[in-house]
Amino acid sequence: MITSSKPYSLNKLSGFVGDDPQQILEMVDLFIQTIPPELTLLKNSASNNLYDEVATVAHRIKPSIDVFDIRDALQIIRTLELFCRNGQNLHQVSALVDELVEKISIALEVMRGELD
Amino acid sequence: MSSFKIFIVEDDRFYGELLKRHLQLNPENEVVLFQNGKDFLNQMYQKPDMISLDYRLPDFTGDIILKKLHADYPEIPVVMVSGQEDVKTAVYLIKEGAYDYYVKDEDTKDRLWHIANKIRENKKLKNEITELKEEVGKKYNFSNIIGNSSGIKSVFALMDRALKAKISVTITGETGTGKELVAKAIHYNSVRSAQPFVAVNVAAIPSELIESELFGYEKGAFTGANARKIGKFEQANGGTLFLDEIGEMNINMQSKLLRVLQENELTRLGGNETVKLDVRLIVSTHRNLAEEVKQGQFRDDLYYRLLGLPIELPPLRQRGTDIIILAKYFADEFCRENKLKPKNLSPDTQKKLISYSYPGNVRELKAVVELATVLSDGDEIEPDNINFNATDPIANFLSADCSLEEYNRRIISYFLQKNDRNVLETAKQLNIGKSTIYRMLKNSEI
Repeated sequence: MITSSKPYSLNKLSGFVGDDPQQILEMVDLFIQTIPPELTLLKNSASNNLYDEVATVAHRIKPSIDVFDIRDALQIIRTLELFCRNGQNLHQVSALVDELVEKISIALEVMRGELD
Repeated sequence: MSSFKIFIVEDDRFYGELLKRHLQLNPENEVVLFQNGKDFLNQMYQKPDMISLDYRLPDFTGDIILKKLHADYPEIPVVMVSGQEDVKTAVYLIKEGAYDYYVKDEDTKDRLWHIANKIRENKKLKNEITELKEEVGKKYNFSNIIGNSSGIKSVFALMDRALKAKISVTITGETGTGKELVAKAIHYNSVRSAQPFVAVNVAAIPSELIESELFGYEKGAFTGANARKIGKFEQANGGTLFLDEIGEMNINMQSKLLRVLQENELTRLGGNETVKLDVRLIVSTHRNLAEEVKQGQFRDDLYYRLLGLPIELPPLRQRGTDIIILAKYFADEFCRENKLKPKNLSPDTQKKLISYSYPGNVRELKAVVELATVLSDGDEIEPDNINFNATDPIANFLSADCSLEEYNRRIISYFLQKNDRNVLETAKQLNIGKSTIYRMLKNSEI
């Protein structure tokens, strides 16, 4: 059974799908499947200075990250999207992406552990 | 339980699934998820009841899809969704025809839930309105105006002509002949049937109120005008306005009505704004308007403008066996509405019904038959169950417009019945030869 542990919270998720544990498990599983390819795309785009693509991916996954309340991740992703969309502070983008990927990866790892 | 189909277009598979499962908490919702604009547009033939559309998609931007949807499916509400908290975008999308707009944040689920509920309620109300309109249309179908007499057939022919053009119609006829029914039948069978039918009984509105009732007024136009009121003409815009008993309108108001009809526009009382009108006018009266014009009671210019297609409804006493057809119809309808066994009209009852002159016309016949249906005990309505209540029996008798021979026949028949079919007694009472009565009996004239 998944519980609300430190790096993320399931409260918002329960608000969307109700308290059915099966629904929550399925949605966590779906998140674990769908987020890693997006993180890979984010890293590759940042490495290749494809800032529009970084902004697009950040924009796309932002609501999902928000649903899990992954610690500090939402603020980083907002900053990333803003910088890339406006072409500001682009030298910080790679570092922000790394930091984001690390925080989400930790959360994913805990989720996987609890699913098992 | 009728399903409510919602299409969600969301490129983030996880978030889309989240919205889908949230909306499916209401079992009435059938939710289908799409991750790109192309797949979504390919399925639009399914005509969903609501669309939740992400503003940024991999293959299209939301505003391009929104324009396409607005052009091809203007009746389907599209709710725009975006992760960007941009008021300008929201305003722009609403102007482009979006039903609503919300951003992806912690309020998303509640917003989407309430929007879906609102659209579902609107859909139910629209369906109810459509069903009611269809019911009304059926009720006023030509087939519901009953009768086979030549008089009523002439009316049908004129009504048919009235459907084909936006011509004014003047319906004349005695009280109770069905003038409003004919007006409604013309409206609900015309191209204007989806638009309003508004009826105004001119005789029932005090003369000092008729202008504001017909043309409306602005706030502050007079003491007590606390808010703008839309008049009957505006309510009927696009449809039909039925002015019942137009002959009762005073001369001053007639001039104002004429001006509105000439200009096809009006100005509300106390206002400056001109309102364009597209109203089909049907008027009715029990008076002889041409005579009223001669006597200076009705403006001749208004008379000619209103006249259009004149339809004169025959009084029931001139419709022969229509009386029996109508009586049977009213009896059946009354029995059905009151869950009673159907009742027949005995031959003597039919004779009695046909011999009466009906000063109140079809309305009176309906009341007489309904009462008879209640009073009858068996499967048949008997003559004793029929009660006529003419206020002036002599006027009623004479209003039958019969020949002298027919009046004679009726008088002899009446007294014969009163005297328990005693021919000698009847002949003595009427001071006529008994052979006259025997001859009439032999020839089945009485």
